[in-house]
Amino acid sequence: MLQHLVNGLIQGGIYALIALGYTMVYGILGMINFAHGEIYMIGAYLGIISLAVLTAIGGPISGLPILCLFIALIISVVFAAGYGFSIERVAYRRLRHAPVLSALISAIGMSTFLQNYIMVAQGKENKAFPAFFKEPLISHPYLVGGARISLLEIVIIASCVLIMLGLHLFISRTRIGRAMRATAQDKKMAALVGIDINRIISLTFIIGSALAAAGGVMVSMYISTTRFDVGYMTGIKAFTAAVLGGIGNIPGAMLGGFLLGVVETLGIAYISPDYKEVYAFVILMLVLIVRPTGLLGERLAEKA
Amino acid sequence: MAIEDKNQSRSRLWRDLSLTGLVALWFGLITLPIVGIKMGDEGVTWRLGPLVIAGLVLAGGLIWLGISRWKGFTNFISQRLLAPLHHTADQMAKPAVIKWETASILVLLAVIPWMLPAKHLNLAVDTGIYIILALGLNIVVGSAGLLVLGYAGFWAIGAYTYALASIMLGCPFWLGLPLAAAVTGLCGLIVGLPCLRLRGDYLAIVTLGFGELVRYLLKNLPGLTGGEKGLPNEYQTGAINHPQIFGWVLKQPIHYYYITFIMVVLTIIIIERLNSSRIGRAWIALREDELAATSMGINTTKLKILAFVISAVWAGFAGVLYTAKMNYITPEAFRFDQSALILAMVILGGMGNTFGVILGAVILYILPWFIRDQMPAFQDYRLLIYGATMVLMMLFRPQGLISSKRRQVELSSAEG
Repeated sequence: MLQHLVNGLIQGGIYALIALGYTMVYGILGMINFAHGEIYMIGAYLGIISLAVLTAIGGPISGLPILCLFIALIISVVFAAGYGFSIERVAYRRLRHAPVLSALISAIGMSTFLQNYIMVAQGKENKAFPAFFKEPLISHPYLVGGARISLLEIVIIASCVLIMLGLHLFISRTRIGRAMRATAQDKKMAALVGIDINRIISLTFIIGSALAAAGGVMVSMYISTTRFDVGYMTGIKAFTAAVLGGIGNIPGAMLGGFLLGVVETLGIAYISPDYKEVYAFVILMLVLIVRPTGLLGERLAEKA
Repeated sequence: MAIEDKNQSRSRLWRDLSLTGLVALWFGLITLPIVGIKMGDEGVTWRLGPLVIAGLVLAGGLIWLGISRWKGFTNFISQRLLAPLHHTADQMAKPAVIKWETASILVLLAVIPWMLPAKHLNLAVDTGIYIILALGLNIVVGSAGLLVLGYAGFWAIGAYTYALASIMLGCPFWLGLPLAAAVTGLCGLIVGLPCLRLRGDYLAIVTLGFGELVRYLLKNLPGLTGGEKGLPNEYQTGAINHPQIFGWVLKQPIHYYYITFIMVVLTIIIIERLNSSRIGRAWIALREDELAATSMGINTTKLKILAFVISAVWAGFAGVLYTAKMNYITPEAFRFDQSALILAMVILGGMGNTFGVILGAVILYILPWFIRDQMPAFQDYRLLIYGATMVLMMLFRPQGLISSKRRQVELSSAEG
């Protein structure tokens, strides 16, 4: 039981990281960024590619796996942020005043494009995360009340929580965070008081993509593999998490992520692993039908 | 004055040129790790992909700059290429009068199968099935303005309903059509009732969830649906019935051609009639301004559900036809790709315009088929191009290749 809970929390932390991107973009633009799941997948690829390059370069640096992981994470986050920024510039900015349907279709097209871009560039087969780099993190698991917890799992949960705390502080305490909240509330008014809306929106995409990429690197490390089509399913689950917590609401996305991860892991353990992908859909449909505002959301009711 | 203008336009040209260069550089840079590095068993190899991409972006940007500075080109596109298409679409939109063009196209389509080899007949049948699907989806997306992302789910339900009815009960094709329509219609009602209170993008995501849910259920009920093995399989050993007329089994490709042909024509007639009826006009009112429509006394919930159900029913028809023709179905035939493909057909052709949607379906089915058949090397680029096309269409021509007049007005004046 405790073991399932731990696994659920790890899964949930990752969902929460990705859900933040959905929720931030929805809060500001009122649209679902379908390509966000693809950014997560690109992040995972970037991490693996960076490690492959670091290995190829060799030298003293490849003797320090933790440092390599850190460098790979940075590279992945930076490039994924670049992708997020470009997606918004190319596919969404011109459609900001178009009907919701147009932006949504553009987002779906972008998602299909990115997925197949990776497939064409890197191939259809699974990509393995080089085991060498994660070896020191999983070699000595701790035993806590009957559950085996590796250092890697602790690192993942801790970094998810830290990243989310950091984001929360950034949004609630800094000037730019305040500008973001103002933009989410009313774009026209925010522009009138001197906020550069385009910059804030770009920044939202950059931050969201960086978080998703961090999640991507961590998941590919945790389950040792990735594939060009993982973004679709994970994207939908993260979106479910965002909706569950109340879309547009940042603490809600975190809560929704952890909740979904735990529910899914328990469902797999106690009901049936065959329906692994179904639990999220059922939760998503139930939440949307019963309480579309989610657990913590009230903003939606105002906006709708 | 004149000199100043010239200076200004020259500096604008420089700015545009350097911007194009920067954009090309940017794309070269961000594609560097993905395209530029190939991971192999022994380390990494570097490739020239990013340079190619940067070059393509640069070339595209320069061409774009050239076009936007040369007015004659855009005029040529709009007057010479698009105007005749619009004219044809307008002609097709008058269902009461059968023009000689329409009649001759129908005659041509009725005669042509005798000259085609079986390979192309199969292609024609498949295209016909996609036309029916695209027209069905167009009712809910194009006419009523509700985005449905799980249309393949309804298609799958129709297909499996007929397959199971045929295998277990020996249900004939002609009975399968209304049966599958009833089942998919009911599913449409069940999904639609709770969802239609939701905002547009929520409806999109719920229907997406529905489509995936259907596929996972089909996959995970091996006792009934054969799971991933599909139907028929070792548990469900019966055969799927071909259509029969007075004991004459229709199973040649050419028979299916005519059945599909008749079904497509009937679909077009029914949908055109529907669109110009009270209901069709109410849908358009609903799509353009829900609040105003409500205040005019239109029962929005009822109409939305009606659009949803009718659309689902057409997916059911297409499902039966598909199952009978293929004689074997698996859940993998109804993936999200299919929903996206059908949606792309509706969008490319022009939402809300029957002729446009048919054109979209024909282009998006025959072109990839041609690529698969003639240039297999480009096979992998198919979905890449779909995705890019969807984005580009939304950016530059959201109303589709052939726009419905009403839709055009709506999209150009829409705000927020």
